[in-house]
Amino acid sequence: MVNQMKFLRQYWLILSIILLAVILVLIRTYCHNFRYDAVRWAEPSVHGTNILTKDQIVAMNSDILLITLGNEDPAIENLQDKILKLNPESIIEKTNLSLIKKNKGPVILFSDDNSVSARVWMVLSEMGIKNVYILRDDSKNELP
Amino acid sequence: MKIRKEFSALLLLLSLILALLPLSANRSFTAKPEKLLSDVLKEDASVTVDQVAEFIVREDSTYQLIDLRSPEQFRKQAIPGAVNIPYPEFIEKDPETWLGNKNIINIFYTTEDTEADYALVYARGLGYDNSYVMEGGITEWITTVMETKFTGDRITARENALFETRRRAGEMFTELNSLPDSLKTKFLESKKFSAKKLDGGCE
Repeated sequence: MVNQMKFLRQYWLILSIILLAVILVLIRTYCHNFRYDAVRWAEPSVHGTNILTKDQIVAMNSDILLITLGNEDPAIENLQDKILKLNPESIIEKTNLSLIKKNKGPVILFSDDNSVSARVWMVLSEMGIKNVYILRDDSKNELP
Repeated sequence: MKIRKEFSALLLLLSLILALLPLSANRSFTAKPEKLLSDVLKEDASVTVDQVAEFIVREDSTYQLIDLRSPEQFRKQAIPGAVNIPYPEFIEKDPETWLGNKNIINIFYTTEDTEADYALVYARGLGYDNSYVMEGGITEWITTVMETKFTGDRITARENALFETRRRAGEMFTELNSLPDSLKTKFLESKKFSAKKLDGGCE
């Protein structure tokens, strides 16, 4: 004990510098609203791995949370109980974010306006939320 | 000897902390999430194809059109004055190169919208608030500008001006895209050069 006190007294300056450095590292790494390294979080959009089709969602057995960002619901059978309707701007409110983070399976964004789901996806992804996808309804683009 | 060992251990610990420090070269969003989301969801984050047509006809050098499609798609069909930065390249490289001039308004477009929307959030998140999206992409451009027709009996002055802008922009689009690839590149460069020359005014 005496030795430890002696050590602390001898190196208090160095120890406080190290402590300060550790605190700064922790602040910079975890206290940001957006996660570090924007390129990494945007990568799924480059490869298109963040886009899911209706068929892919139907084939999934995991705990899906389908978030509708608008008025129109995606017409997917057996998933009506998993749909959550949200205003696009309110998706990053604390309660909604915790719901997204707590969901064990994929969180799928749907909007009748593809731009809205794409923009919301990029914001969520840069916040470090990994399991977020976009449901792309291509049926609108099909020729009659 | 003991002190030297203790010092070495402390230095080792310090260097470990330094190694864990995030590199400033790896970009991260600087905006607040609430503000960013609210800004990018606003209607004024997008410009219409008619607005773009007007910039093109006026040869307005304060606007920069950024085509995020592949080089093949760009060579096949491009809007006059646009520069091609394929989306993967836009994400991976430092956007300062293209978006750094705060006096220029950057307008992204793709075939439809998705990648332009990602690019908009990415650019604004990194602090380039002078970024916008051309609503509907080149698909909307073709439908609205290229296929514009006047079918009524009477035309108002405003409708006439809009129709004339579309017609002129459509002509410029056709003119550019009917050129061979090599000439097309030269054409785009010459357009940029003449716009820059005019910027200086009378000296």
